Amino acid sequence: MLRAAFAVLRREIWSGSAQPLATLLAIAVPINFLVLMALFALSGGKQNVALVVQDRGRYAAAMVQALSRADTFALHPAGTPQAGLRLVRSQHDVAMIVIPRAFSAEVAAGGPAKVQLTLDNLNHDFADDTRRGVALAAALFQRTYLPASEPVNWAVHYTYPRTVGFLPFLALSILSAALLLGGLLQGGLGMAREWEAGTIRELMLSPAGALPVLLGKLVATFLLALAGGLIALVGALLLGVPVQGVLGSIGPLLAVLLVFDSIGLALGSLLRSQRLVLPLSFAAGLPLFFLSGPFGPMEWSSPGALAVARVFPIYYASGLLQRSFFGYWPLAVPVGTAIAVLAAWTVASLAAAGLAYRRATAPRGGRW
Amino acid sequence: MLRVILAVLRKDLGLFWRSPAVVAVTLLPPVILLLTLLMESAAVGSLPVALVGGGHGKPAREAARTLAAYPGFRTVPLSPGAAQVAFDRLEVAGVLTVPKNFTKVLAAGGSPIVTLQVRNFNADFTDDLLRDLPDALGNVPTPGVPRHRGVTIGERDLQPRDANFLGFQMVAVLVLLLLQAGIVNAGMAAVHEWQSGTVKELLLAPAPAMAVLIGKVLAGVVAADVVGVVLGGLSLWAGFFGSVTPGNLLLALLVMTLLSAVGSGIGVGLASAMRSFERLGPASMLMSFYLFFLAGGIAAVAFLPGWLRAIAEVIPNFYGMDALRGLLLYGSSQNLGRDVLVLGIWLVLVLAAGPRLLHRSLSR
Repeated sequence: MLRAAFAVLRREIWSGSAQPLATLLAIAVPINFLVLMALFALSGGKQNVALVVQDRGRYAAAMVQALSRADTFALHPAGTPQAGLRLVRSQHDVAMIVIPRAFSAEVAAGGPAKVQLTLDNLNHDFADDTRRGVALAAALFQRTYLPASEPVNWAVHYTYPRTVGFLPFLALSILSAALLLGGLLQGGLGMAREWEAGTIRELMLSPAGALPVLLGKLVATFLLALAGGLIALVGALLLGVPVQGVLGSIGPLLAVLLVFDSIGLALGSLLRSQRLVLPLSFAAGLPLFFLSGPFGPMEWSSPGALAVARVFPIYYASGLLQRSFFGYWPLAVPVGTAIAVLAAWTVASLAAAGLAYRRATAPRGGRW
Repeated sequence: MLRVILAVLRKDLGLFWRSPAVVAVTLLPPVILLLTLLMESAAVGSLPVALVGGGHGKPAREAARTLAAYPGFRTVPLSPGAAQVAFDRLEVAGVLTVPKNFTKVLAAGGSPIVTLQVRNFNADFTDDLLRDLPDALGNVPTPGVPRHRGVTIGERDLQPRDANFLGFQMVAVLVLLLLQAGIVNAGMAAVHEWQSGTVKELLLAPAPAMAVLIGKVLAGVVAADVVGVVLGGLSLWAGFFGSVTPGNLLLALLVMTLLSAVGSGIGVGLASAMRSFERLGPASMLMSFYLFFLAGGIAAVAFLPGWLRAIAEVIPNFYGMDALRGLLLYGSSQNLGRDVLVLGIWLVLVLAAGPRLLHRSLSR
């Protein structure tokens, strides 16, 4: 059996090298996905805000510091309100904050001191983030300089000593989705190509059963997808994922890749058409990325979204990768359950691919 | 010339509706993006937080009630023990506790401390909670204790209303759909000529290449506009865009047509370079996604870093998105002239380049 599997593996690798464009494409697409999602991630960081400081006093400087400490804005100094407004109107900034000339004097007099916010309120969600960001800055300022103005105080207790940044957190979801896309394309297109070209018949005519054929194909797909996976991993590291997590993540990464390759094989076996595998893989990439919990645990999303996410392996795969790189477990289900679900997906996918192969080899009135 | 255009248009439209793969490539990504956004929007804006409203006295109860009503949190009132269990099970992102001595400290002239225990998995939602907390506490009544705002915020909004989050994203999906439909349909119809070997007959026929190109672009435009109008109509009917005047709807249709024409022109050019379905399929999808995300994607361009914004400003769908958002969400045609002009220039460029690309790829 192993000899037969090895022969299929060798044939598959040879076939991959004989069609360099298709192989390169299957490797390049996940990397492109990584780049695209990184572009998407870049828009989710801090908000670009024009800042006009008309007051030279110490309280104005303290207010600027409070705006920085609010962790919401990327502040761009503008000389005048007119210049700031131009930046907002030309969509270079989402808002303009003006600290007026009388600000320090008004604070010194016990307040109230006014800050002017001009907001391009494109949608409620974005606009609300800006409003609350300015309110937080004002609260941070008052806490230090006008404590009497706020009778109720607050304290925050963090669960983990370090808060992972937005981009590194998102990068692991991107990595999971890129691995998934790579597995679907390598496994799916490779298998569909066999059916389209009719070369699957050569395999069916051979004495080897379904198992060695699938095993050989799985290992070959795994090796080809690994190249794209490694490049995607380097991309994730460039987005800020901690390098020290790499060693511990090798096992989970390889396991996740194996799961996704198995699904790819099943997809190719069932659809038997590259023209269908290709759009379906693409179409699956984006929503599955969202279901991996790219902004935070899916447990805090809507119950419907959580229920859907728990059906798909990317939810568990992303959790395992976060555990390896960030050291915490971000899912409500235990680690063992996540591993069991991933294993079940692998077995079910290989079984589906095997069934498709066996059904095709079963004699039907002397025809395949 | 008109007869040639109509013949090519009819042939290519037939090809589109008869090919399930082309329909799938066109519709699947935007439709799935739409479904994902619908799911995502259900959770946007608030995180689940356990609220432990301990303490006696009216002020403590009022504080708990105010925090529970704050729209930034999805609060779940729980006992301290139950809150800890919910926190450990990841049912909530944080535990907000009004201290037992809240009323007493307030009455004594002190500052009671409301605590937030947060599971800081990442900076994004942790910062969201941190922004919410002082904002929510600012609404807590403090009877008997004078309260005055040390810093007040005067706000001036540039748009007449905050657009609905879903409506805002829907315009982005519409732009992706138009672009994708234009690029993929016109591209697939053009590549079909190479795969079936009819491209030589087409280009060597007495009909001008420009007429063939216009026919192919028009087929892409009709297919894109049909699916665009269906999606736009459904969004309008669902109330995602608010109220839109008939005039603005007509202008939006013009912008949609221009955008799909530019996409169709790009599709024909791409097909001339690729000349096979296997190469064109992924290339056209990648092209439309790159154009989409480089122009801001589902976010606003003002959120992008400077270098990316500079790229966005030369991409046609940036102007299509700007015009459609203005017309459908804010009732504004402020930048419409500029947006239509840039889209028009792009259309002239792709139409001018098309015949040359077709002939060049034939001579290869």
